[in-house]
Amino acid sequence: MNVTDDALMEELSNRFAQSRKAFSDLSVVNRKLLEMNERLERSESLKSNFLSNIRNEINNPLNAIMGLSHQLTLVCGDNKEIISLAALIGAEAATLDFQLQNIFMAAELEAGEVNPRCVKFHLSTTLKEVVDTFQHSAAYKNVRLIFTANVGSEDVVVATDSTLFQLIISNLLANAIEFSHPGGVAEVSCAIVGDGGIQVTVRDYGIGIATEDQRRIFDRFVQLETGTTRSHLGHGLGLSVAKALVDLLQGTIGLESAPGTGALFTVHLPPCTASDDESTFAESGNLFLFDDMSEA
Amino acid sequence: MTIENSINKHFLYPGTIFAEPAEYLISTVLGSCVAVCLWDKVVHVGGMNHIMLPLWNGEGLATPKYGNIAMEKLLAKVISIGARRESLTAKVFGGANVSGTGLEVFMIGERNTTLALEMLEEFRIPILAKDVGGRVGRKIIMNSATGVVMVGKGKKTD
Repeated sequence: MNVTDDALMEELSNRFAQSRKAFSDLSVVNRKLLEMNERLERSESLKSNFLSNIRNEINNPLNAIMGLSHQLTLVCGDNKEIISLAALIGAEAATLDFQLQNIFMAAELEAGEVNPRCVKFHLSTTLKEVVDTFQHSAAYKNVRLIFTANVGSEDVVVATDSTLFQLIISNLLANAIEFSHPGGVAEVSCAIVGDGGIQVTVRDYGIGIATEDQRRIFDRFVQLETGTTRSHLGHGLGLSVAKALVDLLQGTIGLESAPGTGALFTVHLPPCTASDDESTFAESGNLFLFDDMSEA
Repeated sequence: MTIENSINKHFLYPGTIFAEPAEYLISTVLGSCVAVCLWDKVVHVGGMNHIMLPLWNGEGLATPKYGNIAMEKLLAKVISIGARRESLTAKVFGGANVSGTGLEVFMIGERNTTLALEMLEEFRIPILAKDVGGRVGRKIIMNSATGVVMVGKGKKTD
């Protein structure tokens, strides 16, 4: 194909003009957004500092309550009433602990201070433990939890941050149980995918989410049903924390759902690649030094 | 390239911030992401952020993966470890157009860069060095005590 120089130049300058226009439009919009965000950010940062400061002061007594309630069930002999009360205290404290974990994790994520630590762990064992911690609340709602490990061996070892991984799954699971119908089931399954990454699905057969609402559910403090009549527990933080953690681990989270049919969340996490090794330099062999001394 | 093993190292994940009073080698890998290194030329402390997208639009958590959040938080953080605003200097890296498309909406790298530079101007922090744009990714290592940043180019990443 033959193009004259003039035509080419004209096309190029058109494109550049378009780019400039788009950029100036964008910067106007950006500026507006910045102004809008500024006040919000100020209150955000106050909140974040506050939360990271009070973290230990809240966690220590709460851990004591959980520990002591367990002790109580052991030392009170066979007084059924005390045992069941102590178990109730323990369960409620554990629920509170889970909520607080999310609140603190949200604060840390917003402060940019979550540093994933890559460790190797047994996928199915870890996932089973997470599922087991929710057996109590599932039984309370009369929801049956089913866990399937679609991994070749039961002991597949994966590498990512296991604490963050567990919190992601916990939030999806808590969500699945909360929005299941009584008597329903919630299914968790895991698999290793092509790139050596983890794929975990959490499915419920509950109320489901309409397509137009599916983006919003990862926002903070959003529950689709609002107001004093809302029938579901939670503060709408869990899924936004799960999403931000998946982002941090460079994975993806997908959702398939329709009203009345339940929801299927699919989390994919790549094997972690973060490293301090300098090997990437060797490949490029192309080093630049940005040194203050020469420019001062 | 030999780097002394005695210095603390920190790998900066996308969307996070790092600034500590001690000497650290802070490394990160950039494609269309932008990293801003702030360093106090008097007190000799500094830190780095890693911007993935220009602006927080109110969706999800207000994490420093968004430029406007990351710039404010990095500034606050380096000041909290003893830096003084008037003696801060900046170096800006990344913002490559790795996908190679010319479509405006996808020019995340350029938009990240523009935002970082604009916010530094707003903060009145002088930019001592920058290596932005282009088609290839970068790996950078900043020494938080000396403010020296090394950049390796050529590896395509996101």
